Amino acid sequence: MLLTVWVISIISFVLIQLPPGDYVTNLVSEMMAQGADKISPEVVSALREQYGLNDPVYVQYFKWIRNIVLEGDFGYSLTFKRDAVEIIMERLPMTFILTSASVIFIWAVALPVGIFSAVKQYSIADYVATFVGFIGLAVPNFLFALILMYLSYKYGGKALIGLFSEQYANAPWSWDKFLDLLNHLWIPVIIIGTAGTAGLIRTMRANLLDELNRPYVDAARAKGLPETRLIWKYPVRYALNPFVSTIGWVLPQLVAGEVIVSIVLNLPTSGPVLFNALMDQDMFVAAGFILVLSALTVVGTFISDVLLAVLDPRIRLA
Amino acid sequence: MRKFSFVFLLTLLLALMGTTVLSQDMMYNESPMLAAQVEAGELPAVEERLPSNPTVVTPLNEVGQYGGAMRVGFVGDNPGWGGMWYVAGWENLVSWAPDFSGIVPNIAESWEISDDVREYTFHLREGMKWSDGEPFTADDIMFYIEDVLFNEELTIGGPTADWLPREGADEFTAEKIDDYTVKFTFANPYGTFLFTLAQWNGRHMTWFPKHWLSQYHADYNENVDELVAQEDGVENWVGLFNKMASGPTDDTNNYFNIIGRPLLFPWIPSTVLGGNTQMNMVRNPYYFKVDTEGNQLPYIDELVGVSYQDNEARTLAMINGDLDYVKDPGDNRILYFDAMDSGAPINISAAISDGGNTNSIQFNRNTEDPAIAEMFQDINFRIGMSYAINREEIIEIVHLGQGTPAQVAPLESSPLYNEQLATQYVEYDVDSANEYLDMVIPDRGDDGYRLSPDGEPMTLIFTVPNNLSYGSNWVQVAELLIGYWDAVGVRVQLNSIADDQFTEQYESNNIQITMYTGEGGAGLTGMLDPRYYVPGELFGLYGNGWYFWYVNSQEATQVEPPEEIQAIRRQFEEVGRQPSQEAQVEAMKEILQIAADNFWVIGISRPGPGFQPYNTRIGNQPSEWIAGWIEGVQKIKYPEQWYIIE
Repeated sequence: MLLTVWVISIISFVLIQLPPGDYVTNLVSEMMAQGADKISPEVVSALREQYGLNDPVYVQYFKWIRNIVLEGDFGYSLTFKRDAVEIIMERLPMTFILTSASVIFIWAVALPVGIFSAVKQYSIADYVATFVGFIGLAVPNFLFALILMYLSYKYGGKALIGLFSEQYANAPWSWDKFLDLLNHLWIPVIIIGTAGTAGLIRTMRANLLDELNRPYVDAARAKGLPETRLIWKYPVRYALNPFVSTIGWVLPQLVAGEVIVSIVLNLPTSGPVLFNALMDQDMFVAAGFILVLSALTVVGTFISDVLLAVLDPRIRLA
Repeated sequence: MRKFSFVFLLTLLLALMGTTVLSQDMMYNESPMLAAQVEAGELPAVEERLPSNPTVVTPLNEVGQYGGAMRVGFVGDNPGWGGMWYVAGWENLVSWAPDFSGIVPNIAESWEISDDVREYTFHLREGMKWSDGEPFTADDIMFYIEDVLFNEELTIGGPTADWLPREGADEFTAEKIDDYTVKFTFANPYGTFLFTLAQWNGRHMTWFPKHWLSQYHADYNENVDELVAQEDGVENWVGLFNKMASGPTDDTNNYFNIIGRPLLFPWIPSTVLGGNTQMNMVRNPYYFKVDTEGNQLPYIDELVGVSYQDNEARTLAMINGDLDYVKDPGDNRILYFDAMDSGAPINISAAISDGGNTNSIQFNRNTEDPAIAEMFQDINFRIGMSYAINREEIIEIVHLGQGTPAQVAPLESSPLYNEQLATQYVEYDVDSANEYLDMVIPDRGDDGYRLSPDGEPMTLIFTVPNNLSYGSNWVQVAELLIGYWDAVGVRVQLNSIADDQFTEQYESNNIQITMYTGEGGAGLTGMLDPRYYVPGELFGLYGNGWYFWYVNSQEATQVEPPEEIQAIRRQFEEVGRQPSQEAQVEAMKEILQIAADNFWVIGISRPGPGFQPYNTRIGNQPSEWIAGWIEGVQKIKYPEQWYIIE
């Protein structure tokens, strides 16, 4: 596991360095874009020296990884002028709230609908559920976000941008702030959720259909088990297998998947920060983020393995 | 002081900020927010916080009321360039009058200039204070000059600053006469110094609080290394000082990332951007300006800077009334006007661009292929390319019918106006275009396209930055241009790139044809920013290598300018040395005639007015104003006298 993370760290750091230019070129072009165009070349080279950008890539990488391992220091955000780790940690909680809310939403919708679709295969209800799910999958997230934003502006009289109203944005946590969050949270959750549900509905439906045609189901039915109990006791449990084995992917997927939505809706999550860090060549923040996300994936995969073993005795015995 | 008068196309209905009102006999008022702090014993009384002679600002329409928060929206993670700089920053020794008609006192109370314009003596305001309550005196300016500008570790390679002419920089001296008087002496006459000071270039003079910054300076604090060790992201005292001072290396983000740094600005940061999409600023209790009735400015108590990731979301917020102000509203003119007409809480003021043109089309004479470079240097080639452009069509399609065909040149209202420069070769005339191009590249290949001067098939690369907030329609213009040039047999290919790549490209001389802004239109801006009239300036990309030769950087890109170019530059240096404005204008007119004869760059059209949306809550906004970088974008509207109408 550690080896994987280490390799990922090298790849991510090198990848970030690959595009031409660095933070200073970006800074200069930003000033230039504003018309402050009298930046002397001496200043530019002094800036590079100050930020340690004159070293070769492997030296920069070595410094970075050494500080992480020895001091837990993820480097320094050139954009925010603070520790990269602070920037990452400030955004992660909000990201987790959004992610978990979305996951709960996806599962809460996809599981029952998937089971229902399988049990009532080819019924009107199955078609409707499938159709709605596919629409959700097919509409691009950003478009859906824009439409919802526009509708809330047009008919609700307020544009639901961000996760907090202005007065709560930098306020300490309180009950009112939490309610304010819920008031804003449903839009991104629905947007991110609809995209995920369709896939899961299909997976659930297909797996369950496989299980339902197994002999043990017929045997149970012949023995006169009630239908509900019959379905929930074993087939659903086995059909959950793919869900559980992909938990490890859920975390990074949702973080990556919400980037566009967060940009459009202006959410204070890690997606936009990562995106901007890549755009601005703020390399320590970008590399730090990628490292943290990769570590999460590795940890998540490990959790899936453990859960699978708990869930499905066949795996334990294999 | 001398009042300058250059007549503009528009007589703006702006009263000149009163500079002669005697404020000693005023009674001062303050914001209730501060009065409460005085009451609680947290702040001294307003009379003690203001200088003995505060700067008096005449409100635009009416005396405003105190209170409220103004919400400014910007795109990205950079509050400063996103808009905060132009509202809550930019306090220099002198300012522009609100109608851009000349210089008025700001931090400096008054000044004397010697007859040979080499010596400038500035009088500061007695009792003026930094935002932490410490006095602002001549020592702060001397600290900047002696310990920053002339410190070899902080300013590498000898004293260089935007306001300091390169020639004779070493001989520049500053002298503290008393606590409130400093005298600058330049090696050569420097007639345009005050103009320079009013701009961004003059920011450093009042940027360095000695009492606070000296703790980060090795000459003042021998234990500075302990502070270096505590601070993230710095490896030595120079890095630490630059981080804390946001200069001289100018990473101006720092202003909005460091809380507690003493400033002279109307608002100071109270929370920073990071975990959330918002940063806040709160009024500076020691701000040195009052209105005509003795109310300490600013009127508005707080600023909220909201970071958006995307301009469309910001636009929606603005139209919805969730924001009060945005800089560079983008290409949504019609959307904003429709929203205003259908009752959205916004007003729109016209930004009269100070620019000489919507775009400059530049042919890099230092491009690497010698045959192409020679072709670009041939004036007939450029004349041909200019005649080939259907400017009326570009105006109609891209600029919504706003503007008139023109080359890059000072406006008719400017004392620098040169008719030949403004109007030559602007007609759409394909026959003439072919005629002139035939003088340079007459041969055509089998496909009908003109061959390069050495007889090879030729495709020219047209590099256009595509993501500048103020250049949203450049690629559209470029595509039209390519079509026009195609029609006269010149094959051009579009290379549309992001601005940071663009920086790379011109630094490494990878540019053939490019497009940029058209500075140098209104008033004296042609003299203050002559990049399209004098070769060898930054962003004079038609002489890319020459500029790098002059500033001695990017060695691979440097090209030594030929003698006639160096002569023009020497002649331009003389312009700034003229003692009187009349003499400066006369000297500049000669330079502009040389520019007209050389036809350095091609222009498209005179810009029509830009638009600036603002929330109807905000009072004291002009219906139109001269907007541009030299004027400080929004700063010339004196945001400290905006107020919230509730």
